[in-house]
Amino acid sequence: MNAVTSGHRARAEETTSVALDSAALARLIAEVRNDAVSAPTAYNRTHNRHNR
Amino acid sequence: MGRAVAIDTVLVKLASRCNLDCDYCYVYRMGDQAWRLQPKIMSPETLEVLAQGLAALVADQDAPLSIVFHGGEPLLVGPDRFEAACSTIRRWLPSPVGLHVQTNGLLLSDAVIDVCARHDVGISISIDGPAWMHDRHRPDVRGRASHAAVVASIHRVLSHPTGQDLLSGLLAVVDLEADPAEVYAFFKSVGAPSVDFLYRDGNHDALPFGKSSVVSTEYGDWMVRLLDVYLADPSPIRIRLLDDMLRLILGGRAVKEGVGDEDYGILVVETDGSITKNDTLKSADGSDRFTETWTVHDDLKSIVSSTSFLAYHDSQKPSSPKCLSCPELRVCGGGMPTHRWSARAGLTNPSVFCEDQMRLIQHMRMRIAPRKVA
Repeated sequence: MNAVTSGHRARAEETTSVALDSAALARLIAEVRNDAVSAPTAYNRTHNRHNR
Repeated sequence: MGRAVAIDTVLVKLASRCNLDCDYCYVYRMGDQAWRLQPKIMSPETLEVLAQGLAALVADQDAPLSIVFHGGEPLLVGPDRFEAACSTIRRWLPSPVGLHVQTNGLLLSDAVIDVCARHDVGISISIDGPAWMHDRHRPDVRGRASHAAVVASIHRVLSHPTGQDLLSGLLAVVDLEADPAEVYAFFKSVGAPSVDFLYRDGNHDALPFGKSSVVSTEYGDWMVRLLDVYLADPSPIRIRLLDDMLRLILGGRAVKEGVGDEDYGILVVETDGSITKNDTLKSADGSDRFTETWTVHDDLKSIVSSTSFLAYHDSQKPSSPKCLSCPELRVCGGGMPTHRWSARAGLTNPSVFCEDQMRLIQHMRMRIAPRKVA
């Protein structure tokens, strides 16, 4: 784990207790902790950032 | 030859024409007429050469690559040519190279969906929201409503045995006159797993529709209302733009162009095989063309390693003093290049949506921060 990823996870853990009353935020916090950008079947299941 | 830009997305214009006449289109409705000179569809020979070139490029770079069939409306090529196009790409670029089609949905027949399933092609469908707002912006070329046909196509995809995996998401353009709660409820009602929102295109010389000035926050206000609806939903779908920005605030990563500070590389290939810059720059005085006349017949690695391509690539990064000193740049990312453009300063401006994004980011932080101390 590099320093940046470690930092990201630390921030996500810091926020974990935070926003569990929001389902969307809870999911995003889990994704950040797992260093993921989305679920595998979601809109960006592959690297498609130029979706227009 | 310098360092090679890692290409993560290739937009392949299978067709240069469209069967819709959207009033906000950056290809046909914002002054650029270059599409008139393009062949209506890409030839099989051009696609074959492109696929071969991309295979060599992928083999030479570490970054993953995704190819997006685009247009115009890419499905205007018809199901047989579409199948052949998918087959050509997959012969040279098998999974896990991503392959997607961005479509307005009108020609998304069962046959086309089957083709997508066979070749692992993700489907993204453009639809703006409920019928009353969609149809006033996205009529077909004869002025007829398109909404019902698009919704039928979404259901057709979702009812396919692999439909949940095939549907990458829906893509909407913000209509400031619509209620964000109504728009969000609509997208949930059609069964969409996810949706992304685009702002109306514009630049410093031609402000986006609905923005009264560069310091006004009409789009930011709208997105704040959408965010509040989203965060209050106990079973939310995904909203890519909001997810990306929230994830960045939480210390994570984003994938969307113009958000965050990750590097990105895009190739756009027109139907004649010519290679252009980010195609949204068409709305910035047609500044999407390179000085060089590159085509798929040139060596792609040489192109993405050239001084000219590197200069273009670097120009996409925010460069205005305001952006470079902004504490929110890591989240905002500076916005899409076309939204930064002016005739006087080129791309060295903040986005015309700078204040909108600041409004949204501040609201996101407010929604997150109070809970941190809990």
